[in-house]
Amino acid sequence: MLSIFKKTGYLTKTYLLKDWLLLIGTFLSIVFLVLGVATIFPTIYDSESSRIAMIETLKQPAMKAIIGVYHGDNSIGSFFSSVMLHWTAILGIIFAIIIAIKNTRNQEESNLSELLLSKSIGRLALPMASFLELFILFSAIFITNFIGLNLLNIDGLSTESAFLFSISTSLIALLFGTITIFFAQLANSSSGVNIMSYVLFLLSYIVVILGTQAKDNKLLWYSPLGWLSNLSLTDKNYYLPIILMIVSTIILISLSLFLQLHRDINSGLLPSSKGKDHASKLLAGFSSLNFKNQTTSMSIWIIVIFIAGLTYGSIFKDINKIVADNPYLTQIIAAQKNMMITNFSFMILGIFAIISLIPGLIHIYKIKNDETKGYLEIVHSKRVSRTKIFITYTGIGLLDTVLTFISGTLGLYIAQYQSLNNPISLNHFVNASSSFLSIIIFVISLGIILVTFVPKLTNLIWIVLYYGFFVIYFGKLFNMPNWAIDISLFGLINKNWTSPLETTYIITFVISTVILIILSLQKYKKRDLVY
Amino acid sequence: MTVQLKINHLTKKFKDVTALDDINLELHSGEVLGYIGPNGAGKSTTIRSILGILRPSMGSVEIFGMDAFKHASKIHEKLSYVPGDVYLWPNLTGGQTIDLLLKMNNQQHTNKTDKLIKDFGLDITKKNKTYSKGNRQKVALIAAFSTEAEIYIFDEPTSGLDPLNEEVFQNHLLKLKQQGKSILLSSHILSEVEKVADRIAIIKDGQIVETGTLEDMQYLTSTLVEATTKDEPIDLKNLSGVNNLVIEKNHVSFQIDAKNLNSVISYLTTLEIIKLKTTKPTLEQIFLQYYKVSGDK
Repeated sequence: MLSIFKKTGYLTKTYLLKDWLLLIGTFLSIVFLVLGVATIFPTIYDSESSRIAMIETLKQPAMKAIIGVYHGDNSIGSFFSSVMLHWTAILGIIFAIIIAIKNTRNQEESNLSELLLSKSIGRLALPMASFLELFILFSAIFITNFIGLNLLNIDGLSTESAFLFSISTSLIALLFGTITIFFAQLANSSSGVNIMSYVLFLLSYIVVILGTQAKDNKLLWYSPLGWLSNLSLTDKNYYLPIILMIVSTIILISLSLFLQLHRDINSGLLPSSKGKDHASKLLAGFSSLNFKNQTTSMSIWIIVIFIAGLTYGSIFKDINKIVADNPYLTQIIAAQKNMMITNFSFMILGIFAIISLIPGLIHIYKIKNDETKGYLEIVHSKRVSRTKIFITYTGIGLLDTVLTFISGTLGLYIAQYQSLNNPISLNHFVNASSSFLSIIIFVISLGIILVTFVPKLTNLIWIVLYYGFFVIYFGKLFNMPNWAIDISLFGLINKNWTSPLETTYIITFVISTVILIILSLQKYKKRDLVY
Repeated sequence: MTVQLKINHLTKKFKDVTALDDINLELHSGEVLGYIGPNGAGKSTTIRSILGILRPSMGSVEIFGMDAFKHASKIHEKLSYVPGDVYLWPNLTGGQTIDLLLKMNNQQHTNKTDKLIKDFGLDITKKNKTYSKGNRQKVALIAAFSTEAEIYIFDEPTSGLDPLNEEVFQNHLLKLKQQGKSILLSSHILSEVEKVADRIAIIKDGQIVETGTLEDMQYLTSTLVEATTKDEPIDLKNLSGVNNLVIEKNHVSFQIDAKNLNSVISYLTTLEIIKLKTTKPTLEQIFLQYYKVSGDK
């Protein structure tokens, strides 16, 4: 029995050494975020009065849909844990999925697993080492956050609350990493695992959006992300969510190990369709091949973001309802009512803009990755010009991002149109989305510049996305200076329906995009195609 | 015989490493040029420069009289290539890939394609990711052979094939040659090169160390001679060009450079030859000799 786990420890050590940069990066980004915010927050919000207005906003349905249910009192501890819980968890989850895919199906696709299995290594050592790598990483993050939060001695954040905050944010990441290992047993390719993991993640988020709007917390139990809100941090401090996370992680890793024993390396348990013996008329050349390869992932992103748009849009009526139910609040907020709705929708549009950049950039970066994988070598010997290759990757990537964003915006528009008595006009949405689109295409062109001029640094673009998220999420909470908000690009958006972005900005972005893309094309035509 | 491909003083540097150093090479119509050299000598770098994937640091590659880098896609209308390591989109089937590769050159799946699929015995309904190295190579070979082109470039095309399919490959290669096509064959399987190549170029450390026909090379390298003479050939050791001499009474074996063969045979004749056997070196022996010699430098 033990022989199937042979050398697990050795393999885990190898993985830790091999991935050290990614692991350290994950560790630092999460720990710095949590402890950094915990250090800065008390200085920004030193008095209760300075917090109350912000906390009232966080309790509004619109904000609940983004950060989860607010728990606890007006203390800095409750404020901190409510704001940071989802954000910390999301960051951990994304890193966990990336790491988990890397050492499972990605490794199998590069035939490395086959080589490893030819050594005296147990059959289950591979998935087990992937799991242990995550386990060690998130244990370290948990312990550091827990000790750090205690040392900072935050008012209103008891040792128990700090413990629950640290362990739950690490456990949820470990759980999603384990889910990814589980999907790695089912899907037919690593991109399949990727899609399944992120879709499940987004679906859990959508359940949370709906769950936070309900009177009770029942719906939240159906989503692992919802368990975080059900911890009732700094208030009741429930342990059941922690137990659920541990139990489901154990069940999933056991299932994964069982399935690994019953599948062949580099193939999933889901059935794959029978192959065609000829290329269809639609598969007519290089561009159509790329489009075909992208359609599945493109459709999934478009559908999921549309559902997210619908979900967020349906919350608009609750923003109104709260105001109507409470005469006291009505007085204060009535004037700000429209302001809140517009603020909220700009925030959502900003998040959609950043999310839609992900699939597009991933596709554009394939111009490098497909080259490295060797798929393009034979293509270069055909009469496919470099210009065509360049336009194919960038064009499809751009299309993917733009369609995804428009789909999310459309979902938001439709749902608010259905739920509001005085819905926001389509005109306003067109206005706002064209502003965002000009920023989106500019960021895409930055990605293109990176991949053609400095392909080693392509990952820098994710910092732009991360920072954009950060500003949309925290810009106001942190009283960030204007310049720091503006350089995120997304922060340039003014919360005003009629002119979210000045026309001169829009024109500048569009022109810069065109120039950057032309420059990149010229470079791509001249460079060596070896990365 | 027209020159289809001409490499002029091609140098390629990657940062400080010189991968190709002043290479000159020609490929004529109707000939098979064998391109041999050990791993890392610069074979694939040469081919990638020919394909316009790499930009020359100095010198140029001309194909059909056009610059290989500037006019890559125009040139590739009449060029067909099989890479050494064939990587194919994992989610497509072999059949889809073959059709797609043909379509990329505006060509179509023809009867010839079907014949090739049959000859190589490939199940084209399987997905690329399920194929072994040899089967992936077959996909690329079928697509390449059924492409109408003037120049065919093969980079280690048979390294994953079984002997039967190797023969199929060689037969189709000879057919191309008979049609007057130009073929560049880079290979490690020297017996194969010996069988099909008209001329051979040897590359070592980024430099072409020898070009010529097999006969030319055999002339330049030494021939193994075994002889039995009536009298003991004691003076052999004084003759120039004699190496590895072993004399056992009247039986002798030695290596001799082709240019000195005549004088040695004349000397042996004076001793009355009873038995004489000369063995031309195989390509493998020539190859090893070049490497050992230049390795000693």
